[in-house]
Parts: sequence; structure tokens; C-alpha cells
Amino acid sequence: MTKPKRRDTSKVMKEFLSEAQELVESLSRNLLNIDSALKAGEPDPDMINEVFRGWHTLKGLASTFGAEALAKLAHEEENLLDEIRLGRIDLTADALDSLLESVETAIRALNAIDAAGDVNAVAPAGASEAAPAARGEARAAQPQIDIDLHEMVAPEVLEVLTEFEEHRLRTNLQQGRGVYRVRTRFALQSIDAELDAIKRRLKPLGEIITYLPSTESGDPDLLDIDVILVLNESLDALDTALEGLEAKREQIVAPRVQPRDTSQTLQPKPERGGAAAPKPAQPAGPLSSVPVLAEPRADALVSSRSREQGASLRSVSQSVRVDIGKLDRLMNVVGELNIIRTAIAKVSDELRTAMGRRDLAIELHRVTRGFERRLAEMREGILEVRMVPIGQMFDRLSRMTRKISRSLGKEVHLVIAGADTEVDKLIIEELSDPLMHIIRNSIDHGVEEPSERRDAGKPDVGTVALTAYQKGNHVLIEIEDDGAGIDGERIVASAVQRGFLTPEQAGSLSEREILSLVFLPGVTTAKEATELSGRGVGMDVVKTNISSLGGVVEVQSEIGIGTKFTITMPVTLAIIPALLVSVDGDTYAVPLNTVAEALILSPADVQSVMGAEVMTLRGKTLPLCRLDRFFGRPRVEPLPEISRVVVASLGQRRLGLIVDNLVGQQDVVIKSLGESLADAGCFTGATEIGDQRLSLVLDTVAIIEEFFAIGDEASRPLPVVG
Amino acid sequence: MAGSLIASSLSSLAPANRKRRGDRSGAGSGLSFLGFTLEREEYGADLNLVTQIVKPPPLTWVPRARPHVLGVISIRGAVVTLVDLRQLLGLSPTSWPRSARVLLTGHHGEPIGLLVDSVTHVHRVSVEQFETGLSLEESARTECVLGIARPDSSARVTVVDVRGILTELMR
Repeated sequence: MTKPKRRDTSKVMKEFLSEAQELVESLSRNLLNIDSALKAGEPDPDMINEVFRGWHTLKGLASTFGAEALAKLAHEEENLLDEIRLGRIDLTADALDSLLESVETAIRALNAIDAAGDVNAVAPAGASEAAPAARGEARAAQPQIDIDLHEMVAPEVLEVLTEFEEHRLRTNLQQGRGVYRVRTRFALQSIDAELDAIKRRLKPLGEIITYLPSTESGDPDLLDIDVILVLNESLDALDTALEGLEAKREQIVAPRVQPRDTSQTLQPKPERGGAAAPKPAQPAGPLSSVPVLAEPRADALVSSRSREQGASLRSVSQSVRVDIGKLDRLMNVVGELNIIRTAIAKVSDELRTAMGRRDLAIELHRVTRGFERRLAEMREGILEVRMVPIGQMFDRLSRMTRKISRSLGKEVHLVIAGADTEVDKLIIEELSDPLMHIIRNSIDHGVEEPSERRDAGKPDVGTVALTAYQKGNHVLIEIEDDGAGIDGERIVASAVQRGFLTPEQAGSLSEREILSLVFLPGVTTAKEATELSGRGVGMDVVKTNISSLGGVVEVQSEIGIGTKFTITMPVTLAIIPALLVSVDGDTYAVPLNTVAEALILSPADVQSVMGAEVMTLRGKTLPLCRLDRFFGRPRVEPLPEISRVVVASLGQRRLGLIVDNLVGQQDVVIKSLGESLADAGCFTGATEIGDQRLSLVLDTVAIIEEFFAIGDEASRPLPVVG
Repeated sequence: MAGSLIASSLSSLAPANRKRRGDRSGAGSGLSFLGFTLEREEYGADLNLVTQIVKPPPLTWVPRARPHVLGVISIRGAVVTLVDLRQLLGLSPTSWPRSARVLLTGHHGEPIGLLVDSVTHVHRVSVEQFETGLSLEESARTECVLGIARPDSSARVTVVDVRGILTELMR
């Protein structure tokens, strides 16, 4: 009886999680932006404010759903950020570490909540022990107040500013920038859009401290808004920006320093109030002569504090989060519609050959064709929805990169390109671990210590470039570092030591073959393992994970120059091109990305090596696997006069799958098989091909691995190097 | 046309079931079983566990699956594992009659179909009419059975433990 209710709570829970996750992701993104801004100089106070508001919103959300631990964390972060944005705490790299750590904690908390289905689930303790220390340090910093705001700015303005706005104003005045008031008039109906427009125009010129509404105009449909702006650019630039707007500007505090953008023509222009002083850092006198807000302060429509926070209440993006299961269901419906379409087309064909009403039959045929096209469009559309920008994952990776590089004391700059490349959501989920591993290796083993880098004539700061782009039906992801490169000799030595190669074999390997040894289990270049990597565990897992998604990973490296990993993935897992083959009357689908070629086989081509069937393909031995035997239903009769061999390849391993016939090639939608069929172990799923009968999709990777694992036990066949 | 869904979603049965449940004044809390046959014997399954009854669509054999798994079928776009209930209960294998039906059920969200010879009707019995603790000769798979329901003096329905069977299946 509690069943429907339970379903409700889980739905509510999902909504909470997805909303919270979205907030946390944007927090992470903003903090990383701050990080790069911090490296470049001074972060935009708006960014910090954004993070402050993000935690504030998350706090509200978490309390609403009773996630107390999360709410508490958000509350603490909100306070900390408040201190930072008010300038009471300096934003140092350490402080940023601790801020990012809290984001990680929030992610862990959300994962724990998701896993337990309980908003008060406890996340496993992370490395947050380090946080309080960093935080304490951060609190030590104190701002220096060397100007008196009250002397510079009229009290009417000051008293309506929030503490934060006041702080921003003070900071800017300390730096000698000029403050202006821009008065504009908006129609109430279109105020949001117009305010946005003016914000866009003014933002590049400086910092907007606040918007102050006034009802002075007297017209109930019009609203005057004063924008209090700190100007970094010249006054002319401001005037240009305001061109075409019904806006008046007025100076509140004159600048003490040169505006940033001072082209020659503008420079000599004297500013009111003795501005454009050639030397900065001269104390500015009180500028009481400048009338500040001559008009009486109009009643603010809303108090300034709530105005500031109100901004966070509105939904940030236009996008919707959708459970991928729902998309799968939609895709199923499309599949069914397709079956219905086939049925209609059949009826329509029969009608055409039947007597009478031929006109109607033709009309039906035409309509059916239209239906078919729309259906194809719909399928495309759903596939498109599954695609998400890979940047989502890159955010996570840059957070990790920062953490690792700081813990290793190496400065690494992560350069990201192609973040908007779109990939199937499922692939993104599965790829993030392998990518994380490769990057970790690049930082730990690739990028050298700063002193070494200097000796090699490289900049102290290492670079790891993460690039994604689409190429045909595939997405390529490259991870390239400018480190020391992979030492081939050590790799070979390690592989020989592990028994993958004999020393003789090792001597005959090509450079490419040597590099691909890093994907063997246990093979490493590191002399000793570090906490992060070097145990030789991982790259083999990376390769297996990527292969199981139908992807390929390759490595190129040059000593002293760097290393580049290239991952090639199919764009989507939902629909894959497949080769249809028949075995013993059943049709199976073989993912085309694992098929190297298909050949005709006559019994005479089959040779035997130690009892195992092989054939010779272009001078190389190709092991053969009879699929009917593999499936446990061997047919007694010898091979027919003509059968087919599908050459499947997994990295360097190749296997000839003997099938009865090739049926065709088709894009198939893979649907997973349940747990109850996990034992079979050689299928990735099933797919509907035209009629309602399902065809199984071969898990080529598993078949090759199983085939060679069994072969290894029995006879240890020759290493198959493609 | 093969495998077209017959209009047999249990929703048509459910209202009667609900009515019965609401009617608490009668012979205490009742039990409802969906009756089906295997080898002309009457069996029952917990009505709440069966979500749909469909004619068997074309079957695809899954190599290397467990012996009591007949293969996979597609029902409304979902891939359903079809289980041979006959084999699970230790009955002799025969070909399936035209009246055969798939009882659609599920285990942890995974759809499972149970193939039966035919579906009869819904049995409602009181707790007193339900006999548990069955002991039969050794060969009978009594661990798959919850008990025997006796809707009236002449009828006897062997109620299979659908949940237990599915749990066993996943192990």
C-alpha cells in the first residue's frame, strides 16, 4: 500500500538530486574560472559572488529537502564566501583548495544520498581534514582600509548599499578608479530585457556595483534605474556604450588613475574634477563638490539586500535534465512505431495490387512514406537529446588536475579545447575514469620536476592539453603533455620482467609496438610507485574500459618532448552500425567497429596448428573460431563448401569468426540483456531488426578475450601481433 | 502478426481484485491467484506479481544461457528473458500448445516472462483455503511452491513461489 507513495518520494528525491547536482557543477565551474583568473591576476568579483549565491541556493534546496548535513556544509561555505567577497579573507590558492574540496565533499554527499536513497546518508569521509588548516590560514588576512568612504561618497548612496556593494566600492576607490552613476529609464513591461541589455553594454567597461531603482519619473509605467558603475575604461568608451540609449551619466567619484583603455587620442582629454592624473596612488581628496544624487533617494522597490539575493532564485538555464531511462523508453516507442510502419507499408502494397480504389492505395503509400520520414527525424532527435557536451566531464577533470598537481608540487596548466563536442551521455559517464587515469599518469610521470624542466629548456609550468573533436562517426579525445616522454627501454624491460616478452622478441619490436606495451597489466616505467600511480595498475584497465565501449586508445611519445594519448570513441552507444551474420539459422549483429574485414572461407583454407583451426591471411596466421561451437551447439557436419569469416579485431588481437552467411549491414539500437542472462557472457545486448524477433549483438571484445584465455591455457598460441 | 499483443493486460482483472479487497466484511483477508495450466494441472501465481499476459512473440535462443532460460522475446520494445516454468518445476518438456501465454513479471526492474500452457482465471481464496507446508515425493520441486489453494472442494491449485523462483534465477 505504500508503493505509490514510495515512488513519489523517489521522484522527489531525483528532482532534488538533479537540481543539487546542477548547482554543484556550476559551483565547480565557477571556482575553476576563479582559479584561472587568480593565476592571471584578479578574479572578477562577480565570479565570487556567483559562487556565494550558488552555495546560498544549495543551502535553501538542501534544507527544503531535509538534507541537513549538506545544508550545513553549504551554510559554512556561504559564510566563508561572504567573508571572501567582503574582502575579510584573502582569496589565496590555499583558500581555493579548500573551496574546491568542499565541492568534492558536496559531490560525495550527493552520491551517498543517491546510493542510499536517503537525504541524510553520510558520505564516506574524504580528504577534507586538510581543509580546516587552509581555512584558518585564509582567515588571517585582513583588509587595509586607507580611505574614508564617507568622505568620498554621499551618504544617500552609501546607506542603500549592501555590505558587499560597499566593500566593492571601497576596493575600487582604493585603486583610484572613477565611479559614475548612469541613469536610465525603462518601461516596466520590458525591464528585464532592457536591464540585461544595459548590463551587457556596461559590464565590459568596469564593475557594476548596484542598480538603484527610483520612481521619480512620475509615470507609473516607467521606471528610472541608476546604475552605479566603476569605470575601468575611458569616459568616451562609456559614452560609446551608452549611445542610442536614453541614459545620462554623472560622475560620483573622479578616477585617480588612468583609465585602462587610453588610446592616444583620448589621453589628453581632461576629465572633470582633475581626473586623469598621470601618477596613480595619489590620495584623492573628498569630492564633495560633485553632486551626488541631488534628488531625494526614491523609495527602493525592494530592499537592496533582497534584490541581491533575488537574482539567485530564478532558474539559471533553459535546459532540462532528463533521466536517460526515459530516453531509452522513447527510443523503444520509436522502435515500435517502426514495426507498425512496416505493417502499414505491407498493407499498402497489398492494396495496390488488389482490384479497385487504386487511387486510395497510392495515397496511402504516399502518406506512409511521409510517416517514415518523420519517424526517422524523431529517431535522430532523440539521439541528439542523449548527446551532452564533453565539457561536463572536463570540469571534473580540471578539478582533479589542479588537486594532483598541487599535491605533487608540480605546476601544471590544463588546456582544454573542444569542450562543446557532443558525446552520448553514457559514454561520458564511462570515460571519465579512464581519462582521469591518463591525466594522473601524465602529471605524475610525464611532467618533470620544475628544476628538470628548466634544465631541458622548458617553462616551469607543465602543460597538459585535453582536446576533443568529432571526426565522422567518432569522437577523438587527445591527452597530450609536454613532459619527458615514455622511456621505451624501461617499458620493454618491465614487459620482459613480467614475462610478456622474451628478450629476443623484445629486440624485434617496432616503436609503436613498444609503446603499446604500456597497456599490458603491471608494465610501468616508474622505478618506484608513488601514491598516485606507477604501480603499473591502471593502463590495462584504461584500455579494457575503452575497448568495452567500442573505443580504441593509442599512444605516441617522444623522449624529451612529451606523450600523447588518443582515444577514439563512437559518438553514440545507442545506435551502432552492425554487420548482420547468420549462424545455424539465427541472425546475430556484430558491431562494425570491431570488424576488420569479412572473407569467404572454403574448407581447404582451414589449417590446423596444434589442434586449433587457423587460416593464413596475407601471410599472417589468423586463429579461427567457429561460432556454433563457441555457442555450445556444434554441428557435426564438416564446414560447408562456402562459409564466411568475420575478422574481429581488438587492439592487436585478431580472431576469425566463422559464420554461415553475411546477412547485411544495418544501424541497430542496442538494448541491454538482464542479469538473468549475464552467464552467457558474450552478448552486449539484443536488437530488433525489422521483424519482431530479437537478434543478439555479439560482444566481440569478450569473445576474443575468452577465446584467447582458453587458448592460453590449452596451448599458449603465438602472440598475435597485428 | 505473430506475437501481437492480445488485450489481456491484467488491468481488466484488477478492479475485481480491488473490489474484493475493499470488501473486508467477508471471509477475512483473501488471497488472489492467477490460474494457469502446465500439463493439464492447475497452478497459480500471486496476482500482484503478474503485470501482463501476452501471447508468446517469436523467441530468440540465447546461447550459453542457463538451461531454464528459453531465450529472449520483445514485448513492447523491452527485451524480456523468457523462463521455462515447466523445467523449473521439474516437469517433462513438451512442445508448447497454441494456448500458451507469457506471464510478464519482473525482478529488480528486469522484465522476466514465464511461459505457461494456458491461462485460466483468477482464483480468490481465504487464508483458511490455503494450505502450506507441502510434502511430496522427493523428485517434486516443492521449494518452488508456496502452497496449495482450494477455491472449492473439488479444485486444487498449486501456487508457485514466483518471487523465490526469480531470486533463484538471478543467483
